[in-house]
Amino acid sequence: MVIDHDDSDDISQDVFVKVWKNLAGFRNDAQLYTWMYRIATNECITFLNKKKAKNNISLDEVDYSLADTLADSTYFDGDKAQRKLQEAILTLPDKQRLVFNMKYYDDMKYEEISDAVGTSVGALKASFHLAVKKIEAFLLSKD
Amino acid sequence: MGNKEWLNEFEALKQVNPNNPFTVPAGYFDEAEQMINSRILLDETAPAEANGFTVPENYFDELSANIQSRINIEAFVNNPEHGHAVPAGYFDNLEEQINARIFVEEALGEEENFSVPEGYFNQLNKAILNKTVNQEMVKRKGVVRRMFATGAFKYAAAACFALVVGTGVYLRQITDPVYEHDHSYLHKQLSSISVNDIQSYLQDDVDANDTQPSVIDEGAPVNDADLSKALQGYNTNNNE
Repeated sequence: MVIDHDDSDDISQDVFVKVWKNLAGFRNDAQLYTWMYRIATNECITFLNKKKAKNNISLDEVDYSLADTLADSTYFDGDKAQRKLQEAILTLPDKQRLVFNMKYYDDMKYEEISDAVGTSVGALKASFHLAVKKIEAFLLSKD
Repeated sequence: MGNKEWLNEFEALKQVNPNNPFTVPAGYFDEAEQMINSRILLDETAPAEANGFTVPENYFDELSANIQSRINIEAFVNNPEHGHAVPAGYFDNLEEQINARIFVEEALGEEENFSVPEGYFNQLNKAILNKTVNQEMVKRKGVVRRMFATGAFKYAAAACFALVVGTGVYLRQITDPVYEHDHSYLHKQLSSISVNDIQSYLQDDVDANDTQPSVIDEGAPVNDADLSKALQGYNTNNNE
């Protein structure tokens, strides 16, 4: 979500700290890892909003900034197609990007994603479908 | 991978390797547990609510107004129409200029080239007052010196005055025509002759054609020798 490894490291540490501190309040009505996903997604969205506010740029410009980070990243080990897919993902809105990553890379079910992001399954399906169509169009339009 | 069946509808996406292309540094996950534990420990020992920094009461209530005032002031100051402006690029070189100035001053020596005597500034206020306000007060008071410091001066002055007056009177007397006549030789000699004798002499010895030179010619200086001789003859004749 945030592309840069150092940012990811900070966020993951924050996530685990919050998990540790709020573990006593964890309700057993959800699985632990979906609860952790929810914390992680909130942290990612909060981080991106802070980055936007700090640099006084829009979310779209944050995406461009992330694309630059991706181009310079030393921790990207994918091929050309994978890089292009990442560039396509970065064109998506945060929520769609989040859903696509969970579905595509983590192979999560819609119910699990729904628990993690707090959105209904139907809305998630629609969001995911839009995201995939945009990515497909991006991959086909640019070589 | 049953959930990946949706990829069949998207051929371009299906051809992309679905593995996560992002990696982490070597040994990252080996150290992750320790790092997270350290982070939790730090978070518990130094909670975010007690980070040591506070703001004054009602700070954020007044923050908006303060920022707006600051913006207005800076806009006013930076507006060249108000006479307050800096040259173009002034702030670009300001830091460099200040650093250069500091370097030069340090190179010249830490001590200042100009110094003042010890305790100078402690006495400065007093010295200024003495040379300004206090001096005027002294001038206003002045020094009163007695003209006649001793009693002898009075007598000496009186003597000088008397001498001057006496000299004046004396000079006036000796230059007075009456005084000069009274003390002349003719007057002294004629004073011993009675008026009757003079009248008799003039009646007997002098007529209108008398060519005897007059004893005194008007305007001519008196010749005492001739006058004495003439009077000698008169006295001799008169006694006879």
